[in-house]
Amino acid sequence: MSAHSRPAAVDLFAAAARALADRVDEVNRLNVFPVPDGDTGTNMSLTLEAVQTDLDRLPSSASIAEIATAITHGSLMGARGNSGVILSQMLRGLCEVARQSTELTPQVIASALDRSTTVAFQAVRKPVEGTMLTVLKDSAAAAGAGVKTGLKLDEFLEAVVEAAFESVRRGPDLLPVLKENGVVDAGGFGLAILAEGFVAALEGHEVRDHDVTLSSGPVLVQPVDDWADDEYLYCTEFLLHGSQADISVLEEYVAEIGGSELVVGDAETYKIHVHTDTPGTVLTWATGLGEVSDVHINNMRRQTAERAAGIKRDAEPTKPVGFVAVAAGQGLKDILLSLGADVVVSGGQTMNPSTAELLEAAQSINAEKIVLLPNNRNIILAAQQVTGVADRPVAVVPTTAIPQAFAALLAYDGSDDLDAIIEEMTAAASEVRTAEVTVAVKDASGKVGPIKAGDVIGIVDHEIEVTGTDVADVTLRVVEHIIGDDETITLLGGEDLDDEAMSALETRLAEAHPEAEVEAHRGDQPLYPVIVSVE
Amino acid sequence: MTKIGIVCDSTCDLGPEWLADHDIAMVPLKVTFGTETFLDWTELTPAAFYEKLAAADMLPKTSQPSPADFGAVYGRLADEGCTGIVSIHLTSALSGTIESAIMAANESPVPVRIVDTRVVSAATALVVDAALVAREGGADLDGVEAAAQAAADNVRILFALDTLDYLVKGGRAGKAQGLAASLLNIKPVLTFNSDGIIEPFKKAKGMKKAIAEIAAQVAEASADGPVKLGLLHAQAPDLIAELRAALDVAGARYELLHTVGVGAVIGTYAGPRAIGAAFYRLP
Repeated sequence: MSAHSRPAAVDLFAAAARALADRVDEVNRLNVFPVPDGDTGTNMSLTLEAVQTDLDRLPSSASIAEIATAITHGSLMGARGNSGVILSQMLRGLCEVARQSTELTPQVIASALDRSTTVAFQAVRKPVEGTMLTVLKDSAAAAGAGVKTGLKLDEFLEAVVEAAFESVRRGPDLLPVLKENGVVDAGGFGLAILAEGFVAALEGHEVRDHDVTLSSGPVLVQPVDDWADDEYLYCTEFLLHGSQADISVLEEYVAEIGGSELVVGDAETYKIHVHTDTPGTVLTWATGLGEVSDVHINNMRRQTAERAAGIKRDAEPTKPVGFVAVAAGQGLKDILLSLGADVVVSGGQTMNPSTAELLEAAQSINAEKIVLLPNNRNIILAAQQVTGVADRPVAVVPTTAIPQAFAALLAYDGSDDLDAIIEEMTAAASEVRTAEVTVAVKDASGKVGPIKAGDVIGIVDHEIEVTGTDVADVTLRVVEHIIGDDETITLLGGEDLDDEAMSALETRLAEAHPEAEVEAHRGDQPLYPVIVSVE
Repeated sequence: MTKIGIVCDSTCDLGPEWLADHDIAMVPLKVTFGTETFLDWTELTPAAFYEKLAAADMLPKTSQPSPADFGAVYGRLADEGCTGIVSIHLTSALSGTIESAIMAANESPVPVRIVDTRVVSAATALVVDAALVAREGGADLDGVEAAAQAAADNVRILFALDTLDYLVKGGRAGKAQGLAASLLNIKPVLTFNSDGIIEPFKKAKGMKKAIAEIAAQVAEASADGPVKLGLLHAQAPDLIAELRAALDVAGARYELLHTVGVGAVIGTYAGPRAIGAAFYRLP
């Protein structure tokens, strides 16, 4: 094995981080200790991302010592959560040895793991066995044994990785909460994945999938959504710069005000992590000691509840088809949801959601296929772009107005044939004619003549067909432009149309069109006091 | 000369007078408001039921006839000289009526053939009518049963409710349950599937569109020849007029056998101002 030149060391780190990033959801799902908030994988990954950012800034001629400094610094600054902070200390220990080495030998690795174990255990006031600390300790022990028996580097690395996963499998025997939930420790599993990723890159093979299934059967995490009142509510973490305070003083304070406390770093920069009910008090105390930065406060009860909901959602059968609609206004959103939309993305004429937002909404639904209802001419393109990048089949019904989405959703008959659905929904949408009533924001000229800012205008198919001074009058006149022998008139009152005005307008429409059924709903949409449709 | 008895229950909504005129025996279901129990149709007319429903602060409850109720009727028909009975009833998926009929049939002095129509109201009425026509044509027990069964196998019913509340609160919404949450003025057009369970057919925006949809389906079914048709309504003769006009607009071809007003038991779940059509055409 050649000496680890700069690119190799950085590449190895990146490979390890990537192996973890690929399985972050799996690690998150295992997370039941110390708090079942399902973010262990994310926190470890974010911590490594921060390191990567520091590594990317290094010149290509950087020395191994400079790389070690970057890893130590980056992981401390970017450490997130309990697992991230502990991981940063493990990396610090590894780097202390690595920076003085010129070659990767079993001796160097064993010595680095040993140092790493010492540093990590020191950082945690009350180390708990069965966690990532144990996985590191067991790996270090296997490395020590490997050196003694004189294993070659490749055999040695295999033995260390195998010891890491074996330790992960034994974790539930040491930590009852893991056994109760039928899981292995998330942080320990994450650490073993990092080791596998590192070794795979070094040895030049694919990252392998080590089986950590418990003997009791497949891993099944029960949703934990009962938050015990004796638990601390907020995960609080931040960096404290230039305090000159002794670490023991800091440790004593945070141990008193909360739990799961970790204080790492040195007098120049401490990373403090604590679970507490009074993050404000902690921050006030810290700002009295020095400068505070990189503050993260997470409500763990909410995280846990969200996660429980997520697990429940995952446990629900996948629907054949899910629906994403775009709308602005609570009333419109409520109606769309009641008609079967799974997610309503905020947006409309002046606020077009991005492809990324629509993609996220589409992929958040537990459905095999997704139908998008953009409901605005300017959003159709963004919606169509989702079809090419989503992780599942997505199709767009090119609706240009909200009432078309109502008709399209009503036409859905439960089928799972996306082409047939789009055809049917598009046909249903095309049977609805819509007019919008709003106030002109600037002078303009249209086919109806000059329009002054402040005029009330009635728009059909993006053309101003009616102008006037009164919303109700313009509405009645614009309906004449769209109505045929239609049976239903639907009036959607915007946020600028009060209930009384809406009710009066409903009555006038019913009087003007006695042959039709008129229904009025609060849409609460901005900009358009009235959206009216006939079908 | 053998005589075949035809028995139905009250939920075919044909009413005691018409049934008596045609020598068909009827066993009523029961409806209970608070502590007061009435026999469907015989003690409570549709009009009287809907008046009570509007005034009631609690939904009424319905109950099936007892086996003894059926036993008494089967026994009387046997005494009157019937050599066999065809007993035609509402869907067994929504009521235990057929259970009572089967228990009574096992004790009956003459053979009783039970027909589960898997529908209700005007649709069951079409099945009763088919049995009657077969009997009048001189069919024997097998023949009357076969005629009723053929109608039951082919009959469809489509109906629209003014509100799903009664169906949902009464626990009979079946696969239409999910439609109840809609915030728009949706008049779901419902049907009975082949298992005799209610399921949504189409979600229509407003009653006019619902009626047009029902008419369009009748027209489609009559493309190859006229269908036998029964209409039903819940205190809504104006909607019947609209439906008949819509049938003409749609070009439906039909022989209208009955227009029934739904009685107390069906009305408990349909609520006021329901409208529907039942139809079949033998292949």
